[in-house]
Amino acid sequence: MDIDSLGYRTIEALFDKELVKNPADLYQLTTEDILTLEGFKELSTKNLLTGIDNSRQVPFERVLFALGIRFVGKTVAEKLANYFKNIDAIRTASYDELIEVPEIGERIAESLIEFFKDEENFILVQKLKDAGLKLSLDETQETLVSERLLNKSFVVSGVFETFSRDQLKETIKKNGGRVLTSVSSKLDYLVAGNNMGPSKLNKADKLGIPIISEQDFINMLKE
Amino acid sequence: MSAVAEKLLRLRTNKLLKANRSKRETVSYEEVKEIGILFTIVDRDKHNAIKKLAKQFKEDGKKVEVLGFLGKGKENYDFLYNYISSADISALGKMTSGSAITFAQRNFDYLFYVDLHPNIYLENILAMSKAKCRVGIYEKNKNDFFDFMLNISREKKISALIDQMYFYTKKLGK
Repeated sequence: MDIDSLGYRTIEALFDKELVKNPADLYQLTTEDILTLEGFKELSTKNLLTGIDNSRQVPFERVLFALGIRFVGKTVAEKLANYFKNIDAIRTASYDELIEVPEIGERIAESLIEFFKDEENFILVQKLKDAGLKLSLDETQETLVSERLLNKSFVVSGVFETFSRDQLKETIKKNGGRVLTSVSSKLDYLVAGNNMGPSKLNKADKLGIPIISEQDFINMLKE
Repeated sequence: MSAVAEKLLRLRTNKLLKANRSKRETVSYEEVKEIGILFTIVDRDKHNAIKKLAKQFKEDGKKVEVLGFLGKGKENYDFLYNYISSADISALGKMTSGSAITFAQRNFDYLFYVDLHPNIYLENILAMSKAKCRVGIYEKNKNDFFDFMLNISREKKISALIDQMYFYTKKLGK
């Protein structure tokens, strides 16, 4: 995450004067601090502070990427941000919850757990949050397509014709629903595709959970 | 934050240099078993020169491990070697690449740093390295990074540095 007007020389000077010791310190800088740096006048100071301030508007997924967590590139950061919505949910997620995210494997889950276990990283994240950086998705990013599935929970199992499994899960979330991974008495619907395993089907049947087809699901969205 | 992370990486590198207590020595070429090579990926010519050097060491019966640094917009020729990139440091300047950390822990008889200009990411690995003898181009104030430096002009081609590294290492002994 680059900041406008913050070049190598400025960083060197900020460290030399001990005004900055970690990335979060940038957000505590004042006009008076910057004016103590050699070569900085009113306009350059204003530009630097504007650059720092603008970085507060960088979207959550880019801030997450900029933390430099091993194996968390731009695409993975985007997937994590969209799934968990905020940094605390990622930080407190268990290994099982992390690998539940589409395309997040064991390697990434372990790396995330390792990163947040480190106290230095934890403190940095807290400081960045206090400084006003975006460590959660904007409300506009979270806007629902509809509330047709609001407060309804779904387990998705099997292979579908219109949707991929990930698309189906995404559609549930965008319409206000929740995606669960296992069948329990709290579940509202089991969306059954082709070739699904018998265990979920049997359990849902035993618990009296409605088992719906892909077409039933599409019809629900149209209601 | 990336520029701050690079500054923090430099500070960490200095700390690592001071804390590194690995035993340094020169091993006669006949007795050398393992060699490490670090380099920044620049172009096809340099890549071929590194391949040639690694091949030469292997022909001499040495085990060779190569780790590259791939900068933004650079091509990873042939995908032959493990590599790190600027994405391999955390916002606090910590090296996060498993390949880099494992490489640094290796007890190479010789570690050759084949770059004409310093690369802060690879210097971090040099600072952590447990290699017995680290070899690189001469640079003022870089004594702590190397145990053997070669004073050649930076105007010369990388092959000149490689040739000298090979030539003099064969002459080194206990």
